[in-house]
Amino acid sequence: MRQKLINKTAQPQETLLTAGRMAARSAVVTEAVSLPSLLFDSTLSKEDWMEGLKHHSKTLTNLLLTNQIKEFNAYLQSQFGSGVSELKKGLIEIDYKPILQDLLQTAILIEHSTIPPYLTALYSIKDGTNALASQIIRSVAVEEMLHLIMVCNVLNAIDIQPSVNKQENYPTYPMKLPMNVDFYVGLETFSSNSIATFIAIESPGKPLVKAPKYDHDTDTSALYTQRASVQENNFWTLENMKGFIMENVHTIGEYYDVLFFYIVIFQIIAYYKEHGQLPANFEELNTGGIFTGNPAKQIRPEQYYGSGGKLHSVEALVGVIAVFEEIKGQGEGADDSIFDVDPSQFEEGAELAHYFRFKEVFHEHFYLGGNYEPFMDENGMMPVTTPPTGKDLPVDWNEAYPMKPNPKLEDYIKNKELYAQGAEFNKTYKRLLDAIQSAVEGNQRELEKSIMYMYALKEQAVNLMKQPLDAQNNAGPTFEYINL
Amino acid sequence: MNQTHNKKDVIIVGTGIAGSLIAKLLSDHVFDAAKGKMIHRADAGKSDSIKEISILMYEAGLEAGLELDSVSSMTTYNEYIRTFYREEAKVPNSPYPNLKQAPSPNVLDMEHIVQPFPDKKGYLVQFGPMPFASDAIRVGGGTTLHWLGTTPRMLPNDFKLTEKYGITIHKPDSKEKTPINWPIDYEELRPYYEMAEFEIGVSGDVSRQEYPIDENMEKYYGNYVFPMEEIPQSYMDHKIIEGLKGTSVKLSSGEIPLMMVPSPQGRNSIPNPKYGKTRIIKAEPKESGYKLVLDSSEKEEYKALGSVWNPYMGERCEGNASCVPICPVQAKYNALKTLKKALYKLNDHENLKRNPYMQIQAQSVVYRLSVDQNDKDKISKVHLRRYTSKEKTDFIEESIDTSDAIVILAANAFENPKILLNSPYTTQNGVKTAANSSDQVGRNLMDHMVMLTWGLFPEPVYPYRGPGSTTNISSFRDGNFRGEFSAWISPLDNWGWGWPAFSPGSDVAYFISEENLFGAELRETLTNRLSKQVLFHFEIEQLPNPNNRVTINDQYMDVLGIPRPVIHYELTEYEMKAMEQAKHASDQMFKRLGIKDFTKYTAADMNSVMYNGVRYSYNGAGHIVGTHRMGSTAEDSVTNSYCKAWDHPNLYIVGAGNMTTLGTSNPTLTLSAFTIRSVESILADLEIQLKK
Amino acid sequence: MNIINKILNVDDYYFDVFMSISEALAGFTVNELQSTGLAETYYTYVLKSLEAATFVEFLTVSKNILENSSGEEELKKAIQSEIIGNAGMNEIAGKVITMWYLGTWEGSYINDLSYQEGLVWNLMHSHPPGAKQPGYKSWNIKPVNSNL
Repeated sequence: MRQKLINKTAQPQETLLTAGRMAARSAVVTEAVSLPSLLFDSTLSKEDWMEGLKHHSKTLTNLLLTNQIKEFNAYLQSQFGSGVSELKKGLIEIDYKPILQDLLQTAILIEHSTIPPYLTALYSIKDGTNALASQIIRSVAVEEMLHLIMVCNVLNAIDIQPSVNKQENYPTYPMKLPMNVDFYVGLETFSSNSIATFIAIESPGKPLVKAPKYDHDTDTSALYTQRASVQENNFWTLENMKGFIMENVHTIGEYYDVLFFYIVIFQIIAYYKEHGQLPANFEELNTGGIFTGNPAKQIRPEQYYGSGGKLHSVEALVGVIAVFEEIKGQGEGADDSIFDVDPSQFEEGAELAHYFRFKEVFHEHFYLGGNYEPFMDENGMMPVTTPPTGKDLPVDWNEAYPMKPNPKLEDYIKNKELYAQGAEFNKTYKRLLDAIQSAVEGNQRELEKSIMYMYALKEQAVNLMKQPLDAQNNAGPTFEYINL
Repeated sequence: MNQTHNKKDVIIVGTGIAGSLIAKLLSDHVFDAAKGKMIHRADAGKSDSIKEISILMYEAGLEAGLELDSVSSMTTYNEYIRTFYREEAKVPNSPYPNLKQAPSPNVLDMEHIVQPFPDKKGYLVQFGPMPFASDAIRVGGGTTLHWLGTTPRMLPNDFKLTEKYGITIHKPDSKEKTPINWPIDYEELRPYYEMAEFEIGVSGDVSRQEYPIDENMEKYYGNYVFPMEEIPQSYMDHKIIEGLKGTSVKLSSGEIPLMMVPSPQGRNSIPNPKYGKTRIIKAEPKESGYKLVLDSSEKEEYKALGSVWNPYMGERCEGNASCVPICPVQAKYNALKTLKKALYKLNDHENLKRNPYMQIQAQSVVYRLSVDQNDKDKISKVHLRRYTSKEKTDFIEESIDTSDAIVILAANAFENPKILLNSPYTTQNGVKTAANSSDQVGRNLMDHMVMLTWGLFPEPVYPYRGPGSTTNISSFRDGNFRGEFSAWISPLDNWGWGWPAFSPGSDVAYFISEENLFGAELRETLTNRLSKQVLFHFEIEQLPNPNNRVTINDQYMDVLGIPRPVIHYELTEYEMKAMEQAKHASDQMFKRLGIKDFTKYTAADMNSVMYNGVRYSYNGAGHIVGTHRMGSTAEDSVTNSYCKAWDHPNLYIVGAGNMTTLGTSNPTLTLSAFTIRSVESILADLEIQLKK
Repeated sequence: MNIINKILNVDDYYFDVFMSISEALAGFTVNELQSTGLAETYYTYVLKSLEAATFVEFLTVSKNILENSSGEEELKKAIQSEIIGNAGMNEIAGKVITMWYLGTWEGSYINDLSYQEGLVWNLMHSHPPGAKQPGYKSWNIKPVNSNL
C-alpha cells in the first residue's frame, strides 16, 4: 500500500466572507477596481490597473488554488453579475499565445534553472557520505523535473509548443530568478552556502503556514468602476504584465499565482469571445477557451516516478489548477497547512515541503522530535523561519568536492583532455534536453531516454569534480549549451 | 529461564517472506467478539468488541536488520551495500552479517567430499556424496534480500508428476514406492498466485507468456494482468531471440520448438494502467472457516512500492545489475517491505504508526519445541537462545508458553526440520520428534541444478547490465520427456561469464599474465571479449528423494550449542540425463547463433558428475526445498495443504519446505501463494482460540 | 621528448611518472585515471605495498622510457622490452594495471571506493554491479554513452 504523502489535518469549517457580505460592506473608501473594469475599462490609470491586478490576482488565485469553487463562483457572480457595459475590442482581439508563451517559458526557465544547482550540489557529495542530505537534495531535484514537465503540459494544453533545448532555454550561472529577488542562483558544491541558496529559492510567500480559506489581509471593500483618467489605455501587454511581476513577485510560488491569474484572464476573454457573455461560474470557465491543444501530447502520470509528486496532465483550467497546486504544494508548503506543529505528523511517510527539508540540512536537525511551543501562536501556527530542533541530522560539510563555483568550459581550455571531458558532459546534457523536447512534442517514450542520460550525467559530473583545476579548486560540470 | 508474560496469540519463527506474509495478513485482521468472527481491520469500526491479534516474531539475525524506521533502515542497508563493495568474493551472502550465533550456509564453505568423512567447513555438515550447493541467509527479511527476484508460477503438471508421468519415489528406508502428487493443484492455487504477485509486486506481460503446457494461456492466467508492466528485455536477449526465433532443438525425446519469453519478476517497473486500483487481501467468512480474496474496491491506483526507508526510492529498477546479492535501491522485492506493513499501520491521520500488537525479538535462535501429550499433543513451549551482540557468544536461555497460541515455524527449509528433529517427546510408542509421525521431516531435500554454458557471441551484446535475467526459454519446462529426465527452465543470463568463470576479473588476469598485453591493446582486447560474453543457464528440476535429507547429530553443534544441519545428498540418473540433454540443446543453440563455446567442466568443480563418460558441472540455485512436505495424508507428509502439521493442533510449518515437488520455477512465488492460503486456516484456528 | 604530464597539486615528480606509466600500461589517459579520484591513494598504496627499492626501480625504468621515447610507437616498444620483458618489472606492471582495472591489489580492495572506480567496467561500457547504475531500461538498448 502506498504511503500517503502529506497529511492534511481536518480544518474546522471556517465561514467565509460571502459575496453577500462583500456587497454589504459600505463603499466609503474604495481602493480596488472591479474585475470587469480591470479587463475592459480603457480609461483606467496605470496605478489603478496595478492595484486592481494586485487585488484580483490575490483573490482569485487564493480561491481557485485552494479549490474553493463555491466561493469562487460567488466572487465571479459579484464581479460579472451585472454584465459589462464597456467592451474593449482591443483586449478581446489580443493574441494571448505569445504572452502566455513568454510567461510559461519563463516558468520553464525558473524550474530548469534550479535543476543544475541542485544536481551539482548533490553530485559534489562524496560517495558514502551525507546519505540523508543526499536523499533530500535528490528528491527535490527529481521534483523540479516534475514541475518542468508539468509546465510543458500546460503549454501543450494551450496549443503552444514548449521549448526546453534551445540555447535561449539554457539558464546561465550565476543568475537571478526573473522576479523581485536579491539572491543569485549558481553551480556550487555542497555547502551551508548552497543550501542557504536553496532555502531562498524555495522560500514560502507567507510568513506563517496557515490555511486561509479567504485572504483576510486583502481589503474586501465594495467594487466599482472608476473613471480616474481620460486616456484610452490597454495595459494588458506583455511588458506591463511582466513589469508587474518584476515589481511584486518575490517567490516562485507568487510567480505561479500571478501566472495563474493571467491564464484565467485569457480564459475569461476567450470564453467571452466564444459565447458573447462573461462566464458565470467555474464550470463554464472550465470548458473550451484557450485549451485547444492536442491531448496526445500530454505527458501522463505513470511516466513519472522517483518522488512523492504526482504528475498531472492538462486539458482544461482544472488541470492547470492541479499542476500549480502540485508545484506550489511541493515547494513551499500548501496553504492547507502541510506543516503542522504536532510532531506525530512527522511519523513515517509524512513529507515535508522542500523548504523545510533544506532547513533540516542547514541546521543539521530534523523537525521531528523538537518542541515548537515557544514559537506557536494561539492558533498553533508558527513562523516558517522557525529552525528545526528535533533529532540530529548528521551532515559532514567537508565531504564534498572543492568545485570551482560556476565553472565555464573555457576555464578548461589549457587542459585538452579536461576540456574534452567538460564538453562531453555538456553533450550528454544536451541529449537529455533533446529527449525531453522530443517527449513534449508528442513522443512520450523519449522520456525514458532522458532518464538514461540523467544517470549518465551523474558519473560524468562526478568525474569532472575529481579533477583538480588549480591550487584551490577542482573542475566540475558547466551545464552550458553545446552543439552536438 | 526467562518467561514472557504478555499473552501472545501467534508466535512466528523467522522474518523471511513466509513469516512476514503471515504477520502482515494476520495483523490486517481483528477479532470481532460480537460477531465471533475475524474481520479485516478496514471493515472494523471502533468498538469495544474488537480485539487485536497479538503477534510475536522471533528472528535469529541481528536487531539492526529489523529496525524499519526510515533512518535506521537506510543506515543498516547502506552498511550492507558498503560491505558488499569491499568483499572479494561477491557471493550471495557477501553483504550480510556472518554470524557465529546464527550461521548461514555459504557457498564458499563447500568442499569436495571424501567419503566417509563429511565436509564440516562452515555451517552445514555435508556427508554427500554430492555437496548440497545452495545458500541462505539468516537476517531480517531472510533470503529475499539476496534472491534474484524471478517469479514464474509452477505449471499444472508440476503438481502431478505421478499422475502424468508415472513418477514415484521410495518410501523412507523401504522398497515400496509412493506417489509424489501435491494435495492441491495449480487451479486451486491460482487465486493465491495473484495475491502473491500483488504483494510482491510482479512486473510482466501475460500476453507474452508461452509455456509448453496443455492448457492455453487464457485458461492458465484467466482474465488477469500483472500489477506492473514487463521489465524491458535486454539488448542481449533481443540478439539471441533474433537468432533463435522460430527454430527448434532436437533432444533424445524429439523436436522441441524454442519459445523465448520475457520473465515475470518481483522488481519494480511501470504500474500497469490495466491493473487499476490497488488491492487488499481480505478474509471473508464461509460456512466453516475463511476464504481470502483479492479485493479491488480501494480508491487508490496501484503504485510501485520502493524501499523501506523511502517509498519513492526504488520505484523503478535502475539497472544496478547486482540483484544477487543486493539491490541498492530496493527496486527488487524483499520481505522487509511486507514486514514493515505488519509493523506499521496507518493511524487516523493517515500517517504510519508503530503497531503495538506486533513484536519482533531479534537475535533469538529458536531451537526446540515442547509437546504436551496431556493436551492433545499441543506445542506447549518454544525454546530459544538469545544472544546479546554480534561479537559475544554468551546467550540467555528463554522459553515462551504456547499452549494458547498458534506456533508458526517459518525459518527456512534447513532450520524448520532442524528445530522439529531437535524436539523429542516420549510417547507410548517410544520417543518421537515433533511433527514427524510420517518420518518425512528433513527428507526430500531438493534444489535446482544450475548447469551453465557460456561463450562469445559474434558481435557485442553488452552484458553486465540490467537485472540478472529478463528472458527465459520456456520450452523445456514440461513435456513427455519428463518420464525419463528432468524438465528445466532456461533463463538467459545478462551478467556475462561472472558466475562460472569469475569474469571480468579472470579475463583481466588472463590477458595480463598469459598474453602479456598492456595499454591500448589490452583495453581493446578486453572490450572485445567482455562485450560479447553470453551465459546460458539450465535450471534443472530435482525429484524428491527420501535419502536426500537434513538430520541433526549432537556431534555437530554451533557456538550456541544448537545442532547444525547434517546433510546427505545425491543426484540420480533422472537429473544427470537432463544435464546431458541440456548440453545437447546448448550446443545446438550455440551453433545456430554462431557462439564460440567456452564452456569447461573440470574435476575441480565442486558439483560435477560423469554421465555416459562425459563430465557435467552445475551450481546451486539457492533453492532449499522439500524438507517438510505437504500431502493428503499424515502417513506420508508433514503438513496438510494449509501447512498445518498433522501431528499437532497448534503448529504450522511454512516455507519452501512444504513443496512436494520442485518443478522448474523459482520457489519463492509458489511458497508465497500457499503461505497466503494457509492464513485461511490460521484465521479459523484463531477464531476458535479467541472465542475461549 | 618528455611526455610526462605534470599533475596539479601534487609536488612529486615520481607521482607524475607513475601516472604517465599507468596511462601507457592501462590504456587510459591520465585524465581518465584522475577521474577515479583515487590516483594519489593508489600511488601511496603501492609505495606502501612494495619494497621501496623495487618501486623506485620500477619508477626509474619508467621515467627513462618516458623521457626518452619520442612517440607512441617508441614508447610501446620500450615498455615491451624493458618492462614486459623483465620478469620483475612485468609483475609490478601487471599489478598496477590490475589495480586500475579492478581496484584490487593482490586480490583485496584497496579501500572502500576502489571497487566502484575499477576501469574494467568503463571499457566494456557498463558499470560496477551495485553502483553507478545507468537507469531504468538502459539495458534494453546499446549503452548510451559509448561511442557507438
